[in-house]
Amino acid sequence: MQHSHLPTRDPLSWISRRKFLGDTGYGLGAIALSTLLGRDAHAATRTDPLAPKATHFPARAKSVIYLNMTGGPSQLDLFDHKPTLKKLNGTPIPESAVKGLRFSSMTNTRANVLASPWEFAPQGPNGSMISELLPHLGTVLDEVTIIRSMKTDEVNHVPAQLFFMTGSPRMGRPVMGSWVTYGLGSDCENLPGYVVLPSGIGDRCGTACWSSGFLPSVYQGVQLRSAGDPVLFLSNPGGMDEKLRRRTLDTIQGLNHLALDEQHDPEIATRIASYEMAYKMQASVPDLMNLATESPETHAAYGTEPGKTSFANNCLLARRLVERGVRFVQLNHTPWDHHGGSPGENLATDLPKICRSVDRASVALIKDLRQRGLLDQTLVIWGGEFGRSPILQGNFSKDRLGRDHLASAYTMWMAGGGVKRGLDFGETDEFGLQVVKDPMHTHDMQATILHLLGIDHTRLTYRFQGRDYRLTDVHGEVVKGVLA
Amino acid sequence: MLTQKHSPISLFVLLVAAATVRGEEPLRYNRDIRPILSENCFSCHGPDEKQRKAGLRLDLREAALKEAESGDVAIVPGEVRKSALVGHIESTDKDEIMPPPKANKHLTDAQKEKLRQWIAQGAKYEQHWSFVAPVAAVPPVVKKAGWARNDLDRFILARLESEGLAPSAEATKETLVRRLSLDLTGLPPTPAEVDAFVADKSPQAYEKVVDRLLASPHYGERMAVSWLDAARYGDTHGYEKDPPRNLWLWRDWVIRAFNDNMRFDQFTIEQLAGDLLPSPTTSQLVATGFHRNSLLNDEGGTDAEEFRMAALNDRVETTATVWLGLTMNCVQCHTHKYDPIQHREYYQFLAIFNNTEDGGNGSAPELQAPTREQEAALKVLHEQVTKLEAAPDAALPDDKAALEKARKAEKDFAAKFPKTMIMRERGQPRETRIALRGNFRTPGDKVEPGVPAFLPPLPQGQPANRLALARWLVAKENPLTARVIVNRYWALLFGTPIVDSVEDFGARGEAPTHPDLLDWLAVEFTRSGWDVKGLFKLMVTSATYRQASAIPPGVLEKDPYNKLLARGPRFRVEAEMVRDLALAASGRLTAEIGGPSVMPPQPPGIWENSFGFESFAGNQRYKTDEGAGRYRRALYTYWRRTAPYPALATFDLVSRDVCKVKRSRTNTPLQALIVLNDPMFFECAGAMGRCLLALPAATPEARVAYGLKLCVSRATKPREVEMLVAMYRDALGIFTQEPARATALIQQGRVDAGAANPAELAAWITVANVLLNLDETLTKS
Repeated sequence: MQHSHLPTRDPLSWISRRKFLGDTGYGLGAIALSTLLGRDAHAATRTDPLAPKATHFPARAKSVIYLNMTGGPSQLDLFDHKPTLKKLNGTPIPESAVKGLRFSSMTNTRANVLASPWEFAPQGPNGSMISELLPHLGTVLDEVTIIRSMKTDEVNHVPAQLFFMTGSPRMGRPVMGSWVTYGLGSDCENLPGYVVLPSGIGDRCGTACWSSGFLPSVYQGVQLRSAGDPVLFLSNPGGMDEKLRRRTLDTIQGLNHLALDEQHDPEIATRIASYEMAYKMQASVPDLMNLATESPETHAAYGTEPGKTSFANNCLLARRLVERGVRFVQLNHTPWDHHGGSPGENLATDLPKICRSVDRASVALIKDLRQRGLLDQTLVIWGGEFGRSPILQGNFSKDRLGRDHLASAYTMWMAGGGVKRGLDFGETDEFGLQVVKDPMHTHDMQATILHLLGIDHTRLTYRFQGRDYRLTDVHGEVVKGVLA
Repeated sequence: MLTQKHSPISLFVLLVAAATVRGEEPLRYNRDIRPILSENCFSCHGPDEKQRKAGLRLDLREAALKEAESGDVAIVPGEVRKSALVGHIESTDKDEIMPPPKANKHLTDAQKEKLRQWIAQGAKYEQHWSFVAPVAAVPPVVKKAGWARNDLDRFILARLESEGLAPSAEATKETLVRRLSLDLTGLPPTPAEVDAFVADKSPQAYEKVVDRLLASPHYGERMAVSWLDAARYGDTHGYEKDPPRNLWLWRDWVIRAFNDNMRFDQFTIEQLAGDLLPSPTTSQLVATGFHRNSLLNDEGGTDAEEFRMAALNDRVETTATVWLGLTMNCVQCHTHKYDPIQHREYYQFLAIFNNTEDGGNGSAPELQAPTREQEAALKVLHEQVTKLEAAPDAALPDDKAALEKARKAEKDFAAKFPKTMIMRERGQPRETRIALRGNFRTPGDKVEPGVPAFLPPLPQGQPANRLALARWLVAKENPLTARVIVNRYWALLFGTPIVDSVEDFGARGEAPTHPDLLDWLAVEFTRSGWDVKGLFKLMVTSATYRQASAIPPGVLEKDPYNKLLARGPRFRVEAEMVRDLALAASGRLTAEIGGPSVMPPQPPGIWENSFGFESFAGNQRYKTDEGAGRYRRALYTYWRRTAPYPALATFDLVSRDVCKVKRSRTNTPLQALIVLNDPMFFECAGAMGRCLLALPAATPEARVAYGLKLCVSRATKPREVEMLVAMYRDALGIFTQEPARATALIQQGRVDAGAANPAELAAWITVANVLLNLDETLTKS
């Protein structure tokens, strides 16, 4: 936005471009901002750790939508069909099947087998066996790679979620979305590069699931909220309308320009620009959040209800975000933690319930992206931090069932952004306890996601306390088998 | 197999290089060579035996000069052509070239040239600079000697002169008093304090202000913040339920220690090992909360031992970072690739900490300890008991009853003391084993407590425990601690540290910009008896500190980060100060020191992001403070690890899940939205607007001038007054025409219009909102 009554001198004309476009604090490392040199002064003053950066090699995906199903969805009741469990239902799990596996300390490894109470039927181009709890998924399997061979090292929620998001089970490291925006910047100037959309009851690890850890906090996920201001403090105080806000901003900027003339500090130009960007966001964010502009067909497909906090609304928002160039969109949806005992954790009744709220919207998102030509450049990932075990947890009635966590084998799916279309990848043993073909460890998944974005996971590093850290720690192989 | 392959070009370069060596200043290993080798070679040819390739080790001269497995010799001093290293770095063959292509590392031509020159000059090694104890350098001779106010300045000036730069003129008195107040107390000066300093023409005026600020109880609050980052202080345990913990008494201990100017060596010993001192005081036990700041995991199904080990790793790494500037986290899994720290030595260091009662979950052990106020009251009660005990008639029934009563009163009172987490040594020592590849489930050899062998040994004649470690950290022989600490304090004032990698003084860390100054300061610091206030006084009374911060022509190109200090510091204040400034300038601040953490207003929906919000609602609800707790300084804001306070977090607050000794400094639109619109900040605008309106018989120009003085501590310039008054009149017009909007704005500002004209008040609140958002307000200049 230009204001003719303000000093019009280009702040860049007399200060060092190098400093101006470079580091803003001694902790921020060298940032490649050369792409900004061609932009106008205002764009350039996005200071800009978030300026788009070059990839290591051509990217297949430009954006990521991660449908983070926290709590551990039961792959045995959704994706991984096991006839053997039917035969053994209600009998003790064979000792040989569980030997050497690491479980949560809540698991009784001598309890009985629990077969899935739901029917599976062949779906999609490969006749993939999918549970009746996911009636919509079958209609997009031609776009999807199902990975039944996921493995993690962690057996409890928070460590496992952190492990998936950051590559480490401890708090304090940056999450994937932060790594990606650190590595690639963002193409979107008036929205954050990394957006988080929570739904369902609280996440296990709170903001740790979108924390930039030791990376500068500009790479932190920004939560778009469905209640109150979508971005914190977006709206003006009561009594201050847009026009008066503009008037106050002009005064702030006018005084800041005077200071700039006197101090010659490029940081003042940065602040001037960040205040302009804040003003622009006051218009662009409500525009983004306004779902009323979507067609009735779209609402019907997603199952959205404008004004509500729901996974469906967030799926639709995710599409609108990647449309606008946002790099990484993370939807956290809970609860998938079906142990059986506590309220909301009954596998028999609560699993069907959450599936109903998730299946339709996730599938609508794939179809919508495809229809708009966005699926090719958008990587959609669906899954949680671990899976659930074939062993019955607790001693409940037929109407109350539960499974404990399982780290050694679980299922995720991916679509779009350079992933094979219509693929069943990996296999587990007859109990669904261990991966027997094409294992994909958490670090491999991370390496593969970065690869699809044009990033070599061994080269995306940040030095903290003397060590060059990576999302994949010192592990991870790109899983070529899932690449288109 | 090593072979020598030289293209004609490289031979030519070699000849030229050899020719240029003569008559040139000799290369210095630490300055010129180590950074190249460390970055490019040591990960395969360094201290880590397991990673070592071709049996070649380049970090020790002796080893680099020996025959490698291939029979070739990497470095032959004085013989560039015979040195196999040169052949490898120049090779174009992908099997020969070093570093190998898959390492993603490339030597520049200039770096190759340096290596050749260095070999030609005899390949002299030096001990890494920070591993040799500092010796006070003689302050250098400078041309413009009259500029220096103390010896510190001579080091700065000498470097400026050698770079062809000149220092800036002294900043105005207004700028200086604001800079000092923010640096030493984290709060802006009041207009009266500014006026007093400007009016004081005595030669001691500046020093008087410095002494006043160092004596202020707010000094301790200011200094505590970065220590809390380093110590990873929070009000919750972390992980899943992220439940509350009691450690604020320790936080208050830190504030008090700074205010009392506790010697830094004592500060170290009490926090790491207060419980192991002979007959420790309550205060010394509270101090041990330092290492209880590690996270704990109460999630169901978790192996508590796993998180006890995680806490131990955290303590090792924190201790190494905070005091030694060493990156011990690298050594958890394997021998350090760059610094001489063995894998075994990591676990020896860990063994020192592996003997305390606390586990991987739960708060125990805790101590009930009095707050400062309770301490005073307890003293009175205790004196009563002592008096009665000493009474000659203590055996008489009446006096006996009085004594019983007094004793009970003391006991009952003590039972009300708040709890705080502490460290306590176990009776039975634990065995410590090396965790193979960092995994405690695969234990290796047993180790005894100890410190890395390349550093001086632990003090003799006492057990190798935390107390010995603490004493060792602050021993005269320790080459690192004083340097690491003065470097961080320097950065607090000047914005850029002397060693940029404040957390890493090892081989891969940055070299100091002013090595002699760093050593001089370190020696001065220890010589003064680890006098922290003295160190700050030394720095802020220098001419270097007192320079104006405007960037002179040409300086930005030459020194974009102001590392050479040809001008005074100028940067956005840290997160806590952003809040505290607004509170102080508007008169909202509750200046009380210490106490339990508080919950100032934040938008709904923040804590709801954390796990179990519904089920654990009882003790996990955010209860917004309506009283004095609403306007406390930022460092008292309740720190929930999984749901940080947004208005602070957005200003580059670090996550305190692990030790952090530096923050980034960004300027973003989300920050702008906070100061513009956060109701908390608007309440400050409200109070300031009311204050401006209440000025007796003042013109709009005078009110504007006063508002500016509250925020930026200086007199106005005509153009500023013009712009602000014009905006005031516009706002007044709007609010006069639309009284409902005035009412709404006043309500948002949380002030009472009383008898005032609401439109005027609303317009002044609008002006205050502008003033609080100025770059200059948010900046230490």
